[in-house]
Amino acid sequence: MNRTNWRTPGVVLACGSVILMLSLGIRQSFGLFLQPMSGELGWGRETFAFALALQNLIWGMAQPFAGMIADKFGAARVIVAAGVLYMLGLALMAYSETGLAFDISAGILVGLGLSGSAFGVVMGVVGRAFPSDKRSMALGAVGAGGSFGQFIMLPYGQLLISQFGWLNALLVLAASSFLIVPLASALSGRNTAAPSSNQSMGEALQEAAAHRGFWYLTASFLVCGFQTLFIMVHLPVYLLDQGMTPMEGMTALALIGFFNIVGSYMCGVLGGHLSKKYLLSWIYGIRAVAILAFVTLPLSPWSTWVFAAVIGFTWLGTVPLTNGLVAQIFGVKYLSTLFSIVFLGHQIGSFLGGWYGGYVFDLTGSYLTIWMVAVGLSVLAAVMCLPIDERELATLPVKRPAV
Amino acid sequence: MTQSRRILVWAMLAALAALVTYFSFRAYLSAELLFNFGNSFYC
Repeated sequence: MNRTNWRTPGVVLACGSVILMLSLGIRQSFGLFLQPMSGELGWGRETFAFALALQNLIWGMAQPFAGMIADKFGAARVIVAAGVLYMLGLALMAYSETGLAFDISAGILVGLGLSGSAFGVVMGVVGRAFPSDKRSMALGAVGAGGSFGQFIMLPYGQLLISQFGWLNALLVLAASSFLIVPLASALSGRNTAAPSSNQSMGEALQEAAAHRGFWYLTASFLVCGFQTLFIMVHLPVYLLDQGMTPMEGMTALALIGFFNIVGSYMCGVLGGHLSKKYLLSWIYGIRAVAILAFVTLPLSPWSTWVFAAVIGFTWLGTVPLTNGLVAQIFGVKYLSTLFSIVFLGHQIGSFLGGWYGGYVFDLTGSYLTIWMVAVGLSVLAAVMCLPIDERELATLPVKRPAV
Repeated sequence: MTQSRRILVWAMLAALAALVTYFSFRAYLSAELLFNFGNSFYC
């Protein structure tokens, strides 16, 4: 075996999955540090929450640039730099004594680390490694890896805090995140997609900007971010407000995490056989019905668990379908760049979902309005996916100027 | 890799994933995580 051919599509998929598992999973446990860190360092909740909101924003804003660098100079370099930044951010989090230091470590460094080691860059490489008939399944599998990380890292983080204390737990997580660096070698190599294509990055961006489907995808992904972050942040409090016990609520969160793994993979597989835009439309439609039923029907542990299973199934199922659709329409040469721009929409939605949920609750004393906004946006996203022209642009007849 | 060995590898991976999933699910209902329920999802 020579030096290059060990990077088979299977190896790229496996290593990409573990990278996503680490980058998305470690971040999932941050909420657990709120109480011990705030208590010991005398911070208010706002200090902690601001740094994490900043992290989301930095992640979203840096993602398109990380995607561009990955498409131009190779994904592995970006992932290595991201792994180092992620590790530094986590290690410095452990020694942050002021809000500013925490903003820089947990907010800026970890946010930059996420932008280079999460969806946009990793999925771009995986998308290019597989032929078009297997691409959607591969994207679903790598997304399921990220979902698996999100599911297992929460109890892992809690175990570390309980056993070693929050400071050492952060250092162990920092060491774990460093695994991203050697794994990146499997994703190295120049972007060799579409060797016959002479399209420049600027032309690709112009082409995407002129395509209505690109903006519909970005807008529908914004809705996805809005819903998931709103549910992530506010569901535990909502369930406690409604009289559920922590045991019943935690079962719901575990179900979301578990069905997210199944859903990510299944959506990828289905995307390989059925129209991706119709699947996306179905996902947003199902979310609308699930949320509406959850808030209007009498609440019980079972209704909550069914809601959690349905929402979990559709949680990250949008990612392989949206990424697959970008690859299908615009090709894979600049997949990281184009998907990263769509993902920026997701992060803006996340910011709005987290913030607006709290704002409306403070204003009205109830989550009902925001649940209804989530239903309305879901219907809108379901409708927006329908007119997307799924045909590959390279195969469409070129419009030539009249002679 | 032969077909039977491939099946064996996949079966072992599936068993490992099932085991990790089972213990993770149980860990979700541990006293520490229940105490931290309000902060258990990332904000």
